[in-house]
Amino acid sequence: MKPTVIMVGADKGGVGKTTTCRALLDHLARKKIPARAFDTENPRGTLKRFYPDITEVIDLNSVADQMKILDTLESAAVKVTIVDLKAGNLSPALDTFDRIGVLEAARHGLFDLGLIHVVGPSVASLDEIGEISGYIKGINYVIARNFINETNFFEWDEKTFKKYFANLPDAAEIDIPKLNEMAYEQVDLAGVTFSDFFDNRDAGGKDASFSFVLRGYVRKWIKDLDGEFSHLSLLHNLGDVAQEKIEKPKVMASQGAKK
Amino acid sequence: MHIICSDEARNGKTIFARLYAELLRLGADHLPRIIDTDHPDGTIVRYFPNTCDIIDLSRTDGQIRLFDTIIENPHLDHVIDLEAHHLKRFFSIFEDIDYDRAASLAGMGVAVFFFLDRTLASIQAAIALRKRLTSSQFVLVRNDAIGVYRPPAYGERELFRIDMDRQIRLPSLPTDLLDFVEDPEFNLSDFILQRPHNLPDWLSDELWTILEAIYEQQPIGTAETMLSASTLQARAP
Repeated sequence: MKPTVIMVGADKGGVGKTTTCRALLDHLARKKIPARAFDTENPRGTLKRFYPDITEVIDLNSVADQMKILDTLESAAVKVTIVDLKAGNLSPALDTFDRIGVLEAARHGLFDLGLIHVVGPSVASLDEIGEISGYIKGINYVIARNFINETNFFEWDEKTFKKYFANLPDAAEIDIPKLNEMAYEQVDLAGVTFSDFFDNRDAGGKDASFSFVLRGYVRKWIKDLDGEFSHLSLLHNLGDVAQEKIEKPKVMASQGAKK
Repeated sequence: MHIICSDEARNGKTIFARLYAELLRLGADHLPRIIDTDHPDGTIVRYFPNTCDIIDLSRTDGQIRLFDTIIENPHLDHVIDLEAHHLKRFFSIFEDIDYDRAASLAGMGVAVFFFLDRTLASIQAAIALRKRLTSSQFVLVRNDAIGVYRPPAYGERELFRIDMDRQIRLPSLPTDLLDFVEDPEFNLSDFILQRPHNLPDWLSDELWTILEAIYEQQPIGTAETMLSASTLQARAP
């Protein structure tokens, strides 16, 4: 099996990229799949606050930081890499990866590359789907519809809905269900993972006293999300990654970067 | 935790919740904590102003006040007078947060008293609710006061097949008696303990008869004693 890189991003801000990253890391941890994460919200990364031990804050515009991700795919003990792209950085990141040959290397099967594109219920957000279509050929492209509020994704307007979602070749779709606002805030305040919150453990691993109701909301949300993630072929073989011999990627940022 | 509920309003939930709370007081020598979900004005709070909380279940903080407080005090009795319009919300949360299991782990019993109304929709609501419960007890309550019960036979037959722990049939209270009982000044505990009360003798006898009729209903395995259920059992294929 090959190393796997999963980018989570969007060009629009506030659509839930980091929440999706956290949910994904949580999901992998529950499945006992080791992962490492790169938070590109430089210099202050939100993801690192929740996963300090496995997250590194990087600047994706820096070649040295690109190397931290790409040149370590083989040598890293952990073979699953999650990259949380900061707001507005999806298209530039894809452009960079295209220029340095990362997308091409993935298309040739040197490693598995996935993109979870988080979209919110707005035309501006949905228009990004078309804007990045030139990059996604041959990679695992997932559209994550984040139900931030009680809205839907223009399902009431068939023409608009079809425009964005009816013709998505080679794209998987998942829905990020809405999490109760107070539950979300409490997890945020506690600075713990969703699983730890549900298990009533604080950031230090000690017993906490989180609300039973809020833990219940998080538990339901996690369960629903696990159901969504379970549809993704991108994640199906990850459990075997750690045991398999890794084939060396031929394209490295240090060799191909042109800035 | 005793949940008094229905899919319809005005079918006797509050009067039953009140009677039930009074009976619990007689057994424990103190009133249970009573929860009124008729926010903001309250209904049952008129009868228990000192031991009743009005909770807004539409808000998360209200849900926390209800569910968290109860699970933190599993040794105390709680009677919840659940407004009909909160039925789906309450049990949706109840199911989402796996409260049945948590209550069981905490050593707390949960009993759901569902007041069956006269519609097929009410039967369907009872069946749907029963399916959502895992370890909670389910008690079906029929109140004679809401009138003749004539649902389509197939609905009643489905209802009879669900797993219920108990059925209770409430005799109808005559209007004169209802006026007295609904008065917040009237105290059921005083009446049962034969302390001085303001009920005339002829109504007092009638209330005793009704309370005995309720009390004498067997707590378990009473389905065969209920007229409609036994009739349907005989008719069932």
